[in-house]
This record gives sequence, structure tokens and C-alpha cells, in this order.
Amino acid sequence: MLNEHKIMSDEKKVSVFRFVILFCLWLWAFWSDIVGIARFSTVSSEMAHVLVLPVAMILLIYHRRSELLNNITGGSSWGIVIMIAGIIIFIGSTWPFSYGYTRQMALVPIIASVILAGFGWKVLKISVPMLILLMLSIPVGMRLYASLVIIPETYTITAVSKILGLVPGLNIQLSGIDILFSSDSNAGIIALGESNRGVRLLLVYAFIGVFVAFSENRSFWRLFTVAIIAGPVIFFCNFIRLFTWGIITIYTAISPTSTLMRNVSAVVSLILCYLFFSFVCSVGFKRHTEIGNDIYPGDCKC
Amino acid sequence: MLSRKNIFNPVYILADVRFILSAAILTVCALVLNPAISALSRNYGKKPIDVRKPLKNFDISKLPSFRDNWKFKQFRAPIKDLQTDEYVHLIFNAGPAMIPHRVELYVTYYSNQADKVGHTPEVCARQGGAIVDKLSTITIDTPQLAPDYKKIKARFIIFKESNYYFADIYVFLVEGKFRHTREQVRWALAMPGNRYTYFSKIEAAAPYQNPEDKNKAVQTAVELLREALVELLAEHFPTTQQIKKP
Repeated sequence: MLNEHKIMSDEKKVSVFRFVILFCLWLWAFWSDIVGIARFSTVSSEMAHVLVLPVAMILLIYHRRSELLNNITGGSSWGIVIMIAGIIIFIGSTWPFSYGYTRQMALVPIIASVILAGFGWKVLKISVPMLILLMLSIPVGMRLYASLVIIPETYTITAVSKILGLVPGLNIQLSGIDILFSSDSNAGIIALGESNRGVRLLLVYAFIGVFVAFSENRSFWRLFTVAIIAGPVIFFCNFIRLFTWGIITIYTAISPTSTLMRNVSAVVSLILCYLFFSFVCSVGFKRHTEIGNDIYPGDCKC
Repeated sequence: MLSRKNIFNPVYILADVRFILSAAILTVCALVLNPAISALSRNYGKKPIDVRKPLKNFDISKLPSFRDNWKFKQFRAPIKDLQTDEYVHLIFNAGPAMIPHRVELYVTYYSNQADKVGHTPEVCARQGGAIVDKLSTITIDTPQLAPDYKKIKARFIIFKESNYYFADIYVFLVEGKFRHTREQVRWALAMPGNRYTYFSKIEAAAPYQNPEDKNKAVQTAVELLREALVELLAEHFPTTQQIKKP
């Protein structure tokens, strides 16, 4: 029995070794896009979460290590099919279609195919949270993003201006994406010069939500609930970000060109986002401390 | 039977068809993918094509509803903002008694596959202080363009400024076909088939002050767009034969 277990273990080690080789080949093949994503994260505050992606991935993998190792099989031939499909999407998104976002997004099914070919379906299923984090780390093109956020940005800016307009002694006017304010002591524009000021950091909020949700083993219904409320939570945190920015701008004498307001409002909203998702993931939940076991709907109070 | 010393043995590592195939595919990608895509783009990419007649020479007399009772002027924008020097921006004024008292025609033309439709009013006008009040797609009857296009779909936006509104309607013409969203244009530009490529945004806008004047403003903008399209297709944009010829 012990000998049999050892044989299994050795075969898994070979599978892991093969996966490491394929992973290195994946890095080599798509190096320029991977470097592009990493480089963009250093210049865009929208994508700063990419810098913590490796740490977040390692933590999730570490948390699932026994689950991952126990479910390694000989792999699936579907991995090769998905790999070819992903490469076709990658090529098509480069030429004739010039879609940078789809091109970089194609890296996800390709790395998923490497997992599938090396380890099989069960390991791929366990790896879904890591793959979602990878997807959330791919930057959406500026023009695509600008056209997608028109309606939510309009609502957010309008909501912030209406709430601020309730403050006595404060005169608020809306002009396009500018919230103009004037009071006895101060006057100016909230988030002056900030691109997409009404809708920012959406991917970061989603990243936090996914990380918090999958940082422990949770029931399907718990994850389903988190997925349902994720949209409202993300947009509420975005609202708080702009609202905080407005409050700081109005009630302090900080120069409008200072980055302090952006940083403080971002940190406040990110902490709020973390607290929201932690609350939704834990409220009414019987804490499960045994790593590696599945939790079924009947096991929790949700 | 596996022993520990065999785990890193290349013969054993390679003894898996899936692994060999996956590794081969990824290695081929690493070696030839980017050069192959560049070569494809170089050899089979569409070429730019000029307009038949410059847009700045747009003939106002071909707009039956606007040539008589409206005064017009042509506005020239800084070229770097538009990323093209092929455009026309006409402002028609009819005096304060008319509703709407002003209507604008704005046509831009691009002919480079690298152009990715940078400017659409719902994105750009907001930077200038306008608030999107309504954003939708409408169908416009275009009997003058029959039989090819009896009806076309266009993007319809109502913007709210500080003390007035304006109705904005725009449509794209891509290699002879009408499209109404930026993503549709990009898709059409990428589709193989034509030897040459171009796209144009044709936009009409009319301001109004009272919400009850909205319909008149929209109708005037639609009429301007409809009449301008006839002239643009007849005199300015490349013909279908031109973009197909080798």
C-alpha cells in the first residue's frame, strides 16, 4: 500500500515537472504580452493590483495545495484542443482584428489548457479562482473602457453631486463629467483632470472580491451570493471613492493637482470593498477550518 | 514502475503524447508566431484609399432642405485632435426664431487600418461639459439610398448642457457599408475581402432649449444627415468597385 502511494506520488511529481516545463514555454511564447501587462501595471493606478497578482496567486495555490496535489490525474487531451483554440483567438485578435484586450485575454485559456493537459479537469476546476484573478489583471483598452463606462459614470457623478448638494452652504453644479462646487471658503472642481473619474478601480474591487471569496473553501451558494452582490458592492465602493475625493477637495485646502486626494479616496474605498466582501463571505457562516474538505449547502447557515 | 531517480529522466518525461504535443505547439508559438503575424499583416493588410473629392469641397447646394433658408460656415479644427485632415464641419444658422436655430454636420474620413475609431460624441462631448441624457440606436428611412439602403441604423444621443440640450445622430460608413457602433466599425475594418479600407463618421447635431422642442431638433438633424449621405456617397467616398479592385 505504501509502495503504491509512493508510485502515485512520483507520477504526480513527473506531472508537476511537465507542467513547469509547459508553463515556462507559455511564458516564452507570450513573453511580450506578459511583460506588456506587467509594465502597464506600473504606470496605471487602475491596474496596480497586477503587482500583487503573483502573491495573491501563490496564497490561493498554497491554500489549495493539498486539494491540487490530491486531484492530479494524467491530464486531458482537451487541453490541446483548448490550447489551439486559444492560439487561434490570439492570432485573430492580432491580425486581422486588432483587439489588444482579446489578444491578452487569450493567454488565459492557453494557460488553462496547459493546466488541463498536464493535470486534468479536477485541477483545472480548483484553479478557476487563480484564472479569474489573471483575467482581472488584463487591462481593458482605454477607448473600449471609456465607451463602456459612459452610463455608470454618468450615474455615479450625478449621485455624488446630488448627495454633496444636500450639504448646507455648498453649491454644486454638474457640467459634463465635472462636479463644480462653491462655498464661502472654497470653490473648484472635484477630481480635476482625472480620466474616467466617475468610474475607476472596478477591476481592483473585483480582484479583492474574488480573492476574499476564494481565500477559504466556501459553499456554492455562498459564492453564488457573493457573485450576485458583487456588482452593487463594486459600484457602491466606486461611489464612495468619488464621494471621499469630493469631501477632501471641498473641506481641505489641498491643491487640486495634488495626488493625495486620489490616493486617500482610493485607499478608503478599497478598505471598504475588502470589509464588504469579508462581511458577505462570513455573515451567518459556520466557520470551516478544515482545509481541503468540500462544504456543501447544508453545512452553512446561508 | 517508477523510481525516484527516473522522475527527471528525459525519456520518462517525454513519454506522454499530450505533453509532447503541448510543448511542440508552445515552442512553435514562441519561435514563429509574431514574425508570421507580421508577415500576414504586411502582405495581406488592406491599403489606404483617398476620397474621390475632398470633404472640404462639400457642395451645400446638394442639401435641398438647407441650401436656401440657412446661413452656413465651415469650421476648421486642429488636425492633431482629429488625426485626419480629411473632414468637414459645417454649421448652419437659421436665426433665433427658428427651432432649432442651428444645426451642424460633421464628417470625418479615415483610411488606415491602424485607425481605431478614436472619436465618438458620447465619449468626447462629455469631456467638453455635456451630460448624456439619452443614448440609443434609431432607424432612419433613407429612400434616397435605395435599393442598397432603404433604412439605416444610427446612434442617437441627447446631451444636456448647462442651459440647453442637443440632439446628436451619427452613423459610420465602413468600406461602403453602414455601421452604427465603434465596435461594429472595427469588426468591419478587420474583415477580409476588400483591397482598400476606409471609414467615415457622419454626424448631425441640433441644439434646443425646451424639452418640447426635442422632436423638431431630432427631425432637423435626421434630415441633414439623410441629405448629406446622398451627396457624400455620390461624390466623395470611394465606390465599392474602387475598394475591391486589385
